[in-house]
Amino acid sequence: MVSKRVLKECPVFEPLAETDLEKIAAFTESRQYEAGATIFTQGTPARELIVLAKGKVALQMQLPTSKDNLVKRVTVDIAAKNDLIGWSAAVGERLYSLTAICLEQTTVAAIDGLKLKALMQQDARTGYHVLSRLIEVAASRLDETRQVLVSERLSTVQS
Amino acid sequence: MENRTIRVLLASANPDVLRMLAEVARDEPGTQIVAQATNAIQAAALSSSLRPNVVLVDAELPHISASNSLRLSRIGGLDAAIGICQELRNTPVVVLSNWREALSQRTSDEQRMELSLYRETTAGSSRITLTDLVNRPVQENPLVFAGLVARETPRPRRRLLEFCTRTIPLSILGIIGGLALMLLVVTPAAGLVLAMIGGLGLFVSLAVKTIAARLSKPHAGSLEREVAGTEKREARTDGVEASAKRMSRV
Repeated sequence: MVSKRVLKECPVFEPLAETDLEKIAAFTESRQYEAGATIFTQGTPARELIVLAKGKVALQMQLPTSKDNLVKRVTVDIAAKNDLIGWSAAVGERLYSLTAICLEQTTVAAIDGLKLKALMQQDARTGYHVLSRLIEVAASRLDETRQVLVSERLSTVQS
Repeated sequence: MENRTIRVLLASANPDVLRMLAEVARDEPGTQIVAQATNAIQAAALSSSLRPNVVLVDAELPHISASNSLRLSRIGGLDAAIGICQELRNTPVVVLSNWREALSQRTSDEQRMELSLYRETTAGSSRITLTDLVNRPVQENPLVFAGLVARETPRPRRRLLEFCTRTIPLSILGIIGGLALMLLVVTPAAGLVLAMIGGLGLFVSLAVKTIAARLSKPHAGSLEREVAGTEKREARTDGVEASAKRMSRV
């Protein structure tokens, strides 16, 4: 079990009432990873949502390359304190879509995805708050990814 | 690798970070900065052509160009480091992620701070030197994750260093003046004395500076305290950053 404060500081859980946070904290455990450690790997079952309590984590996507059929990993985001990663675990039966690698010594709060889904089904208000915040996070990341894609394409064209 | 020059490649889009990394490299005897890259593509090309002995890469290195308004434009450091590791095989590549606090301390009090790289593990923090990295066992992972810490130079030592820095040009002037007096045969004896005093002053100043610089390298215990202090300060500033982030991202 982790402290409610860690969850409260994460924007996704910020609107939840203290009682809801207590329920989530009951099936959340605290873990530490050293720099360079992998928290989860792309393609493995998404069982936990991860809230970063301390540290920085690079989120990488595997891409097959034409050269020697090698798989290359490309960083698509760097998550920092209070960010939520691995949210595939809260949305249906899914696999992790990215690999998470710690850039620094990292402390996380790992939330059991199945138990969170059960709680959201039981309590529609909690489910609404969490999912609407998750959509906002996903949308803002998608928007920023598009902007980077466009700006890099522009600089390639200009050079 | 003993007695050989350690050739270092630096990579960051932030000029302040480049400056700090350059200082870390220059503080170690026997190192030479061979190039500085400002994006991942440049870092890969330079490491391939120059084959440095150590590469220091900022985790926030942009792939092509950095934009202040786009956080995601500064995430290419790990990719660049992995690419360089694959290309240069056993060359140690340091991914530097924790430098903000060191930068703010340096900016506020430049003269009093010394910089060093550190590696944080569950067992504690340890200082990393470029020499140790180059001389590490070959089977060790060449990818190293590190932070940057700024620690205060002890006050008496700092004063001594400042005094020596001021004495060096005066000593050189004394040598030149003494030699001039001797050559012009005005007062050769006085010239000889002046040149000798200048020479002695220069020798003592350089010796004291070298010894003081060596003594001021951090010990493991003091580094751990420094890193812990840095984390506490970061925890305080993170609250402000987190609320700003919430406003912008959610």
